[in-house]
Amino acid sequence: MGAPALALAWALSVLVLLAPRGVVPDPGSASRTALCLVPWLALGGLPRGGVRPATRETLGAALLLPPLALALVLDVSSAAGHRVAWSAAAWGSTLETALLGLVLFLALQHAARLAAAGPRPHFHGALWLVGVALLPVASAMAAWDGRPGGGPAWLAWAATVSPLEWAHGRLAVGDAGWPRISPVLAPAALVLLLLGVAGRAGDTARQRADQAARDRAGDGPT
Amino acid sequence: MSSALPALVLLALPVPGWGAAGLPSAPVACSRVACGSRAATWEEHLLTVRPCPAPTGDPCEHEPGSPSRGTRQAGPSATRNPGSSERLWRGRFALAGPLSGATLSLGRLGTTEVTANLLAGESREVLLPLPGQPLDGAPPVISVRPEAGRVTFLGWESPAPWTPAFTRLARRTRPPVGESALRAGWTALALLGAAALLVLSVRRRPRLALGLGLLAALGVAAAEGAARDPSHVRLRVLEADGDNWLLVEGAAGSLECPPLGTLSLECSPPGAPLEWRVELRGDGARWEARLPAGRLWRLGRLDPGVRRLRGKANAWGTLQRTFTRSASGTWADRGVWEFGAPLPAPVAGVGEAPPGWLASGLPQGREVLVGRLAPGAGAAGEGVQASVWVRLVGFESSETH
Repeated sequence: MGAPALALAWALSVLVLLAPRGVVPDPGSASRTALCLVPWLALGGLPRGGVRPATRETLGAALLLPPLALALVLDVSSAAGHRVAWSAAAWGSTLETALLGLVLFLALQHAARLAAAGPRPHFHGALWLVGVALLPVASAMAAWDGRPGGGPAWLAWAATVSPLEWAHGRLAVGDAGWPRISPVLAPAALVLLLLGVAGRAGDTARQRADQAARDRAGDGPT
Repeated sequence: MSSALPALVLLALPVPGWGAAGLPSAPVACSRVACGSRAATWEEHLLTVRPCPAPTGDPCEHEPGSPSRGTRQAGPSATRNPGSSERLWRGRFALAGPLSGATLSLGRLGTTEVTANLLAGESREVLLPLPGQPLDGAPPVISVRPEAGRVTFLGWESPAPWTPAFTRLARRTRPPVGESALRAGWTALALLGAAALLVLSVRRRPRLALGLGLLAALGVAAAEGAARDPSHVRLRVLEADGDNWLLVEGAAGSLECPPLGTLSLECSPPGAPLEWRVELRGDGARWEARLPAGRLWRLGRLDPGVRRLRGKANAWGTLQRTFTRSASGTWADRGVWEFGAPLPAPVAGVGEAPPGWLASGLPQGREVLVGRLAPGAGAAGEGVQASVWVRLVGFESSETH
């Protein structure tokens, strides 16, 4: 992630947690963990040009962790009557949201960096644009009230591949106990696809770089 | 790629989960199945809460503004507020040691976790709360710890019948709870800012940055966890009609329900899995209902004893705020009503009415008193970190101010 994206994601996630009156609407009982993850998932895998060092991925994770921990505590204390409870029932689904969201964010970020280093980042960019951004937006727009997942069934089904749609689905998850893992399979598949596309692009770039190096070595004095 | 895209994505993703409306809809609620207004699968029927037996008393008697006779339902389900469901069902169990604990599962209705601590050779028969009752009356699935222990389901316990007076009291609006305090404080913001600056200061050393981020996360979580205040999310209302009293207590997330004093537990969202936690003690038990991201209301018995609220004297406890409504429907703010003092005169120039949820749905043509008890004042207010309101219909102001 670039510096502006990092700053924007951090600011949005903190704003959601503070929810100052009159600035943002009261999120009610929605999962703060899922809300906190949305900007990071949206910005973490944003296609971009230029080679960036791998340290940026670590920096993104390091900046995400404190707001995510705060969101986790808010959710758990809400579940336990505003007292932090150390029980599987209180922590189960919230912890799952946090961990899966973190993994998705890291994978999206890594795919974007790999693709940016390759010669054809537009494959990754197109897939990200359709899978992560356009499908949930189209699904929301197709609903009469603009509600995500409220459009035609096939479109709502297709939109479940987006990590943003997954995060949206986690907003209302407050069930006790350990929840089902299946809703994350579709976005995980998309992220793997993004990684695959980016990885192939990265391999091609490396092969070309190696070839160029060999050519330069062959052209040199013998 | 345009940098405006993520903002567009975020803007195009409205959050219907904000507010109670976004909570998952109930799979099936008790009254829906009872009325046949919703088609349900066979499995849903079996896992659905069974409606309670009819209350005793005259079914025609109802308060103005309450549901008419034709739409009235049976038992506690008839008294609960819309959007919630009755979640207190009692089962009789025989426990035999060695037994440290047991889990009673009713599928997606929820579970009851029991902590027993019975030694080998000890046995006990107890009433335990359950989050629902399958329509076929099937017992819960029982698992015990350790396996040498034994828990036997003896049968469902019929709920106590509701008198018409209690039914009327229980139909009143419930206190709003649990949605105002779920936000981080400015201390947390300061900690987050400091953590971000710390991480950015070592951005060229990624492992150190990650380690610092992790430490900061633990620190922020610990600080916020210690600062959470449970007192402002609980609300008690002492509902009264003449000499009939009912305690209504609302809370977010979890609520302790005394076994003997609790008549009913309502939960919202209605279909969410509820967890009952029971700790068996030497001479009794402690019951606690837990509903993550949900709200709970307990309806309980309340015996005022010799306490009274009459116009000529406050024989209950100091009221920090006092409002009265005349039989003609005019509200008056009477300020503080001290213990032992007669009802104070209306405060001049102050035309405030009580909070809307306390003032609405009350029967016309009768005098009403609404007041907020001072901390620790009187029955049902002792030792409770909660706001306690009194709502008395049939108040006798005795004198005219």
